[in-house]
Amino acid sequence: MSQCLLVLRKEWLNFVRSDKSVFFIYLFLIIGWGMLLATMNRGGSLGSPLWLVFFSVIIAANFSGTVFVSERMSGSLEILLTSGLSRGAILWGKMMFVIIMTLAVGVACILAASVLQRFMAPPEIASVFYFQWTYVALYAGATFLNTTSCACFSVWLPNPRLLHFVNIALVGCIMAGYVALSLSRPLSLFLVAFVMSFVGILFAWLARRAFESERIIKPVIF
Amino acid sequence: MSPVVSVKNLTKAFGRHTILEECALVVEEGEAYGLVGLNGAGKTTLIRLLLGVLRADKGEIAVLGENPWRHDALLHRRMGVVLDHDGLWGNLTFEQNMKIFAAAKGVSWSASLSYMEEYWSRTNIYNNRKAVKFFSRGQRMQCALCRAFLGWPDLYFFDEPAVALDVDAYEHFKSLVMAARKRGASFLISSHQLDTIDDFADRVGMLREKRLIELARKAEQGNRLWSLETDDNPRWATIIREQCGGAPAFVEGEWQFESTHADTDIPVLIKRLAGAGCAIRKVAPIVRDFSVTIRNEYRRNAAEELHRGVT
Repeated sequence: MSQCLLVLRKEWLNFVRSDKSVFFIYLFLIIGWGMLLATMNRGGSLGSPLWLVFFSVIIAANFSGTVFVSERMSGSLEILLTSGLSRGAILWGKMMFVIIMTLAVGVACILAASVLQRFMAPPEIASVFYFQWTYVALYAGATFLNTTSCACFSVWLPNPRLLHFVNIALVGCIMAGYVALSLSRPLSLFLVAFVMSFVGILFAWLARRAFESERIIKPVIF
Repeated sequence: MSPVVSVKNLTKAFGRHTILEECALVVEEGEAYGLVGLNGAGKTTLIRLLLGVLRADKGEIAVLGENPWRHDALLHRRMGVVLDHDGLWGNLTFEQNMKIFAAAKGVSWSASLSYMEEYWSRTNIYNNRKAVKFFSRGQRMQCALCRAFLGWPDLYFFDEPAVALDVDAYEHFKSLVMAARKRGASFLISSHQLDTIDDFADRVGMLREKRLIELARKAEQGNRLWSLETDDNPRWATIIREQCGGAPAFVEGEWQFESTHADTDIPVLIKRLAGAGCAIRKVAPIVRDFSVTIRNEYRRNAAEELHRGVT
């Protein structure tokens, strides 16, 4: 666990010392997406959860790009693999960072949506809270799935630019399945969160195998 | 002495391309092994196999008595590694980078600080608060070297360690290697910079046609390599070849050649050259130049390949 935390700390330091423009981009993204969620949430349609899930795709893939792909490109991953840390600790430390950061950005986005919603068109309080908790669960499930699949596909795919597309395809399939099933009978969005988490566990296992293989140092093609 | 690196019948292929075939290598405890070879010969692949980053298709590898592919973190803690890229995190400072690597290696920060105080306090990377991404290439390589020597590991793998180092930094690197060798450390150094091989290696092996061929040991060099200062008339090369064999080469104003029977060959050679009208300025053994052997080997390889192409 201490090794995981060391990797997490390293990723955090590397992030907070990034260019300042990165933080402004995230701030704009949170406000912009929050407004989108706030306006979509009025009727309680499926629009908001979908936008939220795809927000997770963007944020998780973005952080994964830095944490998994850039490090492979710069060669620092190879050094990290021989630094005395276990491969499992490296993988979980990096995934923990992506999950925490994606969750933090997502929660900030939901809060922003909730605040903006009150200004735009105040709905019933109960409805707002019900949707927010569902959203949090859905967002958490999507974040876990997107992070583990990014960890896995960052090793499998020769061109990591495809990470976003792979995640959109994965999440899109699950959401499409949910919509199809809910046509016959109403289903809770918690079920989607559960399915995403389950598939995420599968990808975590695959990512672990990918990290143990020699593909981990294969050249990255852009 | 026991071997710290032992490789037997090692074969590695990427798809249809075999990079290494039936390679063998032994590096004894306290020894520095120089690895040379042309671009694409498989030096980096061999180092990656020894580090356990790549898996051998066939053969046995033992590093410090263990199979590196098991990915044992404790094994890596006993190694110092510098690869052809520095592997630092650009947004972090030198100190932040070292703190993380020290913790990964299980070296206490107080021990790391005293090591850095002793060996790095006079360099311009020490106390530098800038992010490493703003460092020059040479400074980044110094950081990588500083990281490799953290905790004074038992075994070092260096791939082009002296690239971009200035004269002072190179001398500093030499002093670190000497300090590590006094502690009984072993080295495997791969480099195209033959001066680096000359300065550090006790033994040199060349990767050629997928195999590792041992070229020379430092102890043998004094008897084998000679230099003859005269003009570059090719007639002298013919006489040297007839008398001593091998492939004499005219390098920086002197003929360099090998002689396995110097006691008898050299006096006869001098007589023959003088008799043929050669104005000899100096004949002397080259004591420590692996580089001549390596260059001669490269030339021989090129000649053989040319010959193969013709036939």
